[in-house]
Amino acid sequence: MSTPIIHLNNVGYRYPHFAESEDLALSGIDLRIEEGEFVGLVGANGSGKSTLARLLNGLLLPTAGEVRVGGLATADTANLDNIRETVGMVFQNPDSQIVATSVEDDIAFGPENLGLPAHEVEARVEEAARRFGIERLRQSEPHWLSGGQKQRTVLAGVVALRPRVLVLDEPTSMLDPRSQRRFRDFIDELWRGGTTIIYITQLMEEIATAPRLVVMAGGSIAFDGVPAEFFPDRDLLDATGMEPPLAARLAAGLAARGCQVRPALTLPELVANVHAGSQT
Amino acid sequence: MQISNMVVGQFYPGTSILHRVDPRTKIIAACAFVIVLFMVNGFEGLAVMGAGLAAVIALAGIPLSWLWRGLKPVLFLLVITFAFQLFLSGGEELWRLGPVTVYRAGLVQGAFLTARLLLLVLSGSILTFSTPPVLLTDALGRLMEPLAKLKIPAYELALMMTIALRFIPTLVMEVDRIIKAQKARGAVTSGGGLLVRARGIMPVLVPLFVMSFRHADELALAMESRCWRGGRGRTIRRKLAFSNKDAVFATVVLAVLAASLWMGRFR
Repeated sequence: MSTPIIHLNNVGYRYPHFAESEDLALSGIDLRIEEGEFVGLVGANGSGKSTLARLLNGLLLPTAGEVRVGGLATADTANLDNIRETVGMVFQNPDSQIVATSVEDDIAFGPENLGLPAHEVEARVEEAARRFGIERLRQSEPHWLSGGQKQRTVLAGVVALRPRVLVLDEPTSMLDPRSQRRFRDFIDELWRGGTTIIYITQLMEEIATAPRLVVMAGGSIAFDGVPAEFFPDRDLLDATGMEPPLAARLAAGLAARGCQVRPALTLPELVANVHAGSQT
Repeated sequence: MQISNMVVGQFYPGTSILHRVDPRTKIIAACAFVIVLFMVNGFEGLAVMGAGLAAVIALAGIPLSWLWRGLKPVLFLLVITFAFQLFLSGGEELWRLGPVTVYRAGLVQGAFLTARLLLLVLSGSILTFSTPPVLLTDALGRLMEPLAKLKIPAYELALMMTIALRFIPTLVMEVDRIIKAQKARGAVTSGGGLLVRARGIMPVLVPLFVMSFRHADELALAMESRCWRGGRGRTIRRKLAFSNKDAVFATVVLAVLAASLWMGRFR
């Protein structure tokens, strides 16, 4: 079998200020993610999603077990430069991720850190700005941007490093619905381009179509499979504190009232199912 | 506070020679100007310097209203300086108004110090009027580069200035939000006596500090994730290059400074 791009082997993590007796933030995590996968990562608050995300590029180091990125252990500090170039990370609040005083300077920050030649930095800034529709804002100061534009600037700054894996920790939670959707579409585009995506969210709609869903509860992985197997499972939902997406609840509600509707996870799917049901 | 109108720094966009001169030249020129300003005695020297400054302002096409905006915050200081000198010195009496006596030497000294202070503020303002903050921090970083040899983290200092500039508007918006949140809960943040207002500041300052630390924490994570590993080996993307314009500008500045030194000190 080939080396997975991300491999967690019996990983545990305890925050340094926590006493031995207290709960581990993470324990017994086994996770293999192959290059090119799209993994939705969900879980209630405090379930350990963000801690897990921070282990993936060596921002945190496991206190038990081992995290390997492309075969390299994060525990070895000599690997960290390489690992951070491989795994890009987007956080929740764009305001605390923008470093520079203009959009293009911020996109350039990562490539500059790599010490790339100036013309190469310029080319990457150009490409990333165009890709995420912010080329007209290149000279703008960050505080003039909308939330969606800010988060796209952050994304452009991370993508300019050409990471093979992109970890997104609730990247849309501060955006309005339209910007959320647009941002999510950009992520899909990156995935189709071959980037491995690990997408953390509280919005079930955003991962309803994900090929793989990992659900965290109490610092462990409670489910790892396809969304269509997770959301109909009432016991699992209760155990993990999750709710199915709106379309799934609607479909279930309609079916309970005797309508001919098959289960669905997304609105288009539900519309198609309702339409098919009304034809028969 | 009108946040939507807020401008960081006082940059006045333009394409004049002054705007296109290398920012390093401008910083050095401003420093030299200030040094000479404190060496010059007598009004003749100041007059030459003032004329030079006026020429530069005209050259840069900075409108007087913009200059006024830059001066307003220090107006109080100028008036105090003048008034202080006016009443404190002895010598030949000019006027007596009740208990207040104005001496000739005081008037002259007050006028001189006020003019010097005015030129000082103006020279600094012209630097920030004609240079975008990004270039200013870039140039400062580059000028401090030799300090890296003395183990002073010059590049990191320049980045700190950039980040500070970047976060001023963010923090101002957050202050605005905190004030509104505290008002909504019945806090008094304006009006009232000094004591009431001082007490009103604490509920704003404490959350602001907490938020700043949170920003700093998250920014550090984001920077590390984006391969920040200190200033060494980074690309310098914006090339700063001296050109003929710099030579011309520097020569003119040197000539003005030499003339004012001659007028004001060595004659």
